[in-house]
Amino acid sequence: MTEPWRAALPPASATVACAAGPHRLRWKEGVLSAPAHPDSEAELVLTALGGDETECLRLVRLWSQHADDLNVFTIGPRTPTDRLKLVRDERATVIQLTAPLAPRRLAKGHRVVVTAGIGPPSVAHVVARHNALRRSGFDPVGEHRVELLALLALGPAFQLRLTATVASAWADRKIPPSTEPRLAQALAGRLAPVAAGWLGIDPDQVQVSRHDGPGWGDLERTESGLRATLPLSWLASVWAAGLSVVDGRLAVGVTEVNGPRATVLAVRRPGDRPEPLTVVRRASKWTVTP
Amino acid sequence: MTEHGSGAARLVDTERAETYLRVLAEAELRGAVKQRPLRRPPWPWLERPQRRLRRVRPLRLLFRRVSRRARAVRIARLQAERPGFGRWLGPRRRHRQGGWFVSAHTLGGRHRSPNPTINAGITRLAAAAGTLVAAGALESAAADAIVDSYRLALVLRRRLDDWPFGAGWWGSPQRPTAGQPARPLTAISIGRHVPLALEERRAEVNLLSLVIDNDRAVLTLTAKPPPALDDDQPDDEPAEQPEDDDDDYEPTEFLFEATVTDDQGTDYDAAYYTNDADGDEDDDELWTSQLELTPAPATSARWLDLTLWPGTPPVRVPLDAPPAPPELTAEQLPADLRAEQCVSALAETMLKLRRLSPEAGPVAEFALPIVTGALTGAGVVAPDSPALRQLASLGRRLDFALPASLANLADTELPPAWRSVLDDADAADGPVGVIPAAAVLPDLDGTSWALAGLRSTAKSMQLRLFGWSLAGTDHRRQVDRSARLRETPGVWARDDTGRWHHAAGSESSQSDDQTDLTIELVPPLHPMATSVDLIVAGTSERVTVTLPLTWLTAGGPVPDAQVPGGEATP
Repeated sequence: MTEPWRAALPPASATVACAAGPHRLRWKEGVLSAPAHPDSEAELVLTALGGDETECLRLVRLWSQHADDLNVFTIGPRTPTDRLKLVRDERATVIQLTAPLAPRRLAKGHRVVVTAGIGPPSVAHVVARHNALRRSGFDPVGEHRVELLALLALGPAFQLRLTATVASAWADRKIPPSTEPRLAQALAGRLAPVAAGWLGIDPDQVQVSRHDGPGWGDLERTESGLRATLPLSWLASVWAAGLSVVDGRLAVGVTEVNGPRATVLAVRRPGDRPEPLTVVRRASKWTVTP
Repeated sequence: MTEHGSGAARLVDTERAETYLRVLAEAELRGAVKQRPLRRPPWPWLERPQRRLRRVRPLRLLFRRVSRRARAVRIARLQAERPGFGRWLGPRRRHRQGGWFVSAHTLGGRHRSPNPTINAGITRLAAAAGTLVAAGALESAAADAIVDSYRLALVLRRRLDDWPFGAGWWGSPQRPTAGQPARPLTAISIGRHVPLALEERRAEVNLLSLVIDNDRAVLTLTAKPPPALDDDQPDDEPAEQPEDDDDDYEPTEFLFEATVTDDQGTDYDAAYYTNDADGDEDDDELWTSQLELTPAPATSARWLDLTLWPGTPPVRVPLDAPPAPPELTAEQLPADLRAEQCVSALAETMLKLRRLSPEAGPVAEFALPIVTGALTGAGVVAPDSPALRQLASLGRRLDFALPASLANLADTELPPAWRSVLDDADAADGPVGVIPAAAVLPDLDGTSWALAGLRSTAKSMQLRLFGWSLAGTDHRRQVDRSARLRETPGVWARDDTGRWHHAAGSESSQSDDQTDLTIELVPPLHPMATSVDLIVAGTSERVTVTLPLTWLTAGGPVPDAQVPGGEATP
């Protein structure tokens, strides 16, 4: 049976400039695939033997590699409408100047790297900078983050789905103490705006912590605002699907998804017991149905 | 330094500290995305970094004049074409690298410059990160990663122009390769007064100390330049006023002629620098002057001959028999005192700002809630700890507006050091003179420091320090320097009469991984003092240098603190 979070998110697709032309990448029920490459296994073998990896298959590979990348939480979207201005624009202007400006004395153990770009940061832009810096022995970006940016550049729908994928991956794990701060950030950054909009309070007044164990968690109104304790799975099943607030109620979990219909657990106000609520998705919006 | 406050720190919970910082980053990001995104630049060509490279040589005067004129003409033309262009001048940065000054500035950019609100958010986050690192609650790499991710999140939402920073940057120096041992840092006290006759004019130079590392040698000195000739400036041509104070300093030209050789016949490239553009505010002596010698003298060299002006006899600087260094004691700070150091640094900032100007209050009021919020939010100190109560008491005494978390704390007795500097804040009884102090300090936070001179005036005391980072340049140290809890090691001093002195200001020059630092301490030395303890503190270590007040006079160092008439040097 498909996990609720996979079913709650509708399929998405994006166009990628592959070697043979523009190809579609498709995400459905938690799986990213490249329909234009039906014999992907054979292509992977060729790649392993020294052939060029196609862009479609590279992105599919990166998707699985970054399925538990916690950096998604720190740079990825905080709300479903949070748009990252990352474009896959190979025409982005990137000016790189190296040696010409460096006199000999400066060149001793140094390399001048000057770059200037115009327009929004594109994948090409970031990668070019990364490469230029790496050549100078200076790597502030990190290879893995460049790969992550390439995935985020697939578009907002994929950004949400990647966030849900990572949240789902960590929801089922035993969390080491060193990872807790990142998960706390992931929840606080996404739950605080939702809860603030739900109650009409300042997001800074929402104190969020991760719920670990059975049950859905807890919501408690305090003098200074709201204290919320929810599991990480909330990010995958509720937040990414756009189910956070339905009909003035805060959804704290999803119990079942059947096509466009879903059953969620929702509370009308802090302190209430969550009640099942049946909702239906119409034109990417969820509405309550009797 | 127990005199500075009482230890009130708790055992540090690293996860809690990191969580605090990450949640703070989320709050800042929420505020940042409410700001308007940056727009695409209408004039892409204006985005090119305008770079100039120049070497500090006599020709630089001509070069500077030409480039300044060219820049003024360029800006004037743009202002004529586009009203209000001047407001869009982008940031400029200056660095010194391998004997070159490199300045970069970006023209254009209101559309690209980060919103001040965005900048303030980055500063708040970086300051909180620096506080937690300094308190030992968080590793520097973890804190930097959080700030770095926050910047990237802003860039991806078009709230920050570029990434990692600005339109251009310099590569970091490569670390020394294995098998290439760095020369041990050496500091040698010289202590020579050299009068010079330049044609019919007289000049005077005090040679203080020589600091030698793997790449270069720096000779610190004070100089009293010759008086300007009357016919230097034609009457019909008005004196040129600097158009940009930040552009350059004005060294005395006569030291451009200095030459240096050693006993092995090696000629050194001697480049003269000073940060005193027009002499000291009290007199015309150039205090922060230095000759940089390249290459560094070989370890086998026995002496250097320094000729300050053609035709004058050379001054011999012995390298093989340096005077004994002053007494040094180093100690590790207990973990529970590191948070107290943060509070002490904040107190230092408050004392410094109070002295600078009453308008500086908002700066400290900006830092107070960040630092105290980070320390209490991360659980490093209790909200009602004695250290914070002392800080609140100091804030009230200095008339600072305190954040609510401090305003509610009851008054308590101030540490002796704080009381001392407050009680003697208006003292102007310091002896006037210089001391050719030289000492290599043990590493502090991965940085080697060398003391290379002390100067006392009626109102303050100044130290010359040279720093070398062992860990290589961290680009964020430069980017977030202003946001760090403090960019230099904490320096306090106590003379043997019991008068305390705190760092009230500093000037620094950065190049590669080297820092040339001049720190001003106030109040001045007590007139009866015969020695002073210089206390240099990192985040986890502290070094005390006990320095006898041996003043340099025309006849050489005089081991007597009582300088007749308060005048020991030019």
